[in-house]
Amino acid sequence: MEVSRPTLAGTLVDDAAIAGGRLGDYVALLKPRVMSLVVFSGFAGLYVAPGSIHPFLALVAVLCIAVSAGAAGAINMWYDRDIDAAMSRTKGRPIPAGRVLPDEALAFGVTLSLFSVMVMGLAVNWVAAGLLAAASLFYVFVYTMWLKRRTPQNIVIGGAAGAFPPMIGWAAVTGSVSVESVVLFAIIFMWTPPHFWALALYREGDYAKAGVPMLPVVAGKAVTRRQMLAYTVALVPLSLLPSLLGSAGLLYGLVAAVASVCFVLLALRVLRDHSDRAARQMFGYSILYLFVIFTFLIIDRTAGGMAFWPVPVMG
Amino acid sequence: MPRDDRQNGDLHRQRRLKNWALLAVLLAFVILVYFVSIIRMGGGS
Repeated sequence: MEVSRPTLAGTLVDDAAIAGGRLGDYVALLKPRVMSLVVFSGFAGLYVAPGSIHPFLALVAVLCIAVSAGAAGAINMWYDRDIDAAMSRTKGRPIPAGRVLPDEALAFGVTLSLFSVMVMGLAVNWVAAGLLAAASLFYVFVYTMWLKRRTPQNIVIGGAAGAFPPMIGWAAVTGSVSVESVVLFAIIFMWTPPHFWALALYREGDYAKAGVPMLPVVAGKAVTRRQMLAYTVALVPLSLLPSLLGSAGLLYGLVAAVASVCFVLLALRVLRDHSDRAARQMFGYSILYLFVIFTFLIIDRTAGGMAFWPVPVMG
Repeated sequence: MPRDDRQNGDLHRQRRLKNWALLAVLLAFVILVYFVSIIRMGGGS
């Protein structure tokens, strides 16, 4: 007999959910696509940090960052199951689709969060563990529960949660927070608004239907396009700071300058071209941008880095 | 096979698969703790 029950979110729960869902559903709860960028930026922070760490402990640190990000994603899916059910992009997720029970998703997320923070603290260091806990708590309580449904600035402030990974990676090696790691944080923080607003521009209807006050829904698309441009312009000098501070070299500086200028040009294009296609391309490029920036940080570090400014020889 | 039996079979298979996955995760965790302990006690950081 097939059993379907209405849930609080108004979705149906079937026998599969009561049995505990399939393995793939639990993997989907961890938002693996989002996790890849988090893991990569966390690894980059760890790799470019001055000092050394045992390769196995580095692996554990990256694993903890990945699991913690995934766990926060699972808690986010638990809390947002009502709006996920209303949006075409998210209605196939395990909870709104009725394949995993909400309480089970919450337990899964909380357990993994606690485990990842504890393992990071015991295996690596407690500064990295503290930052990891702060990132999770910020994402769940500040972004998901407080800001997301209340203000169009949700992803501006909430973006801080996604900006933590390179700082956590850095702290895993150095045991501290420094200006260089804050710069890596700031790059992702400043990158987040144009990234999400590009998505919101062509998914505006979805967000409006779900009652999420994204900027295009509340202030209109014209304002959103102008704000996107402002953030991409602010990102240009910020992306060059690692070279200016000496944590990266000339190669990174050149690539970051070109990539950032391209980002600005795409934002200008979105300002003039009001098609979904332009917004989609900007969204796609934003993901590529972050991968390129952090890839070249890694390459530059591997190559030894060449000073951005000529260093005078004293003697 | 009647539909109910087939569905029960599917549910049991899913549950068994999940149990095996959980066992694998627990074993991996034990191995991880073992190696972390060895490295930390050996002065590696």
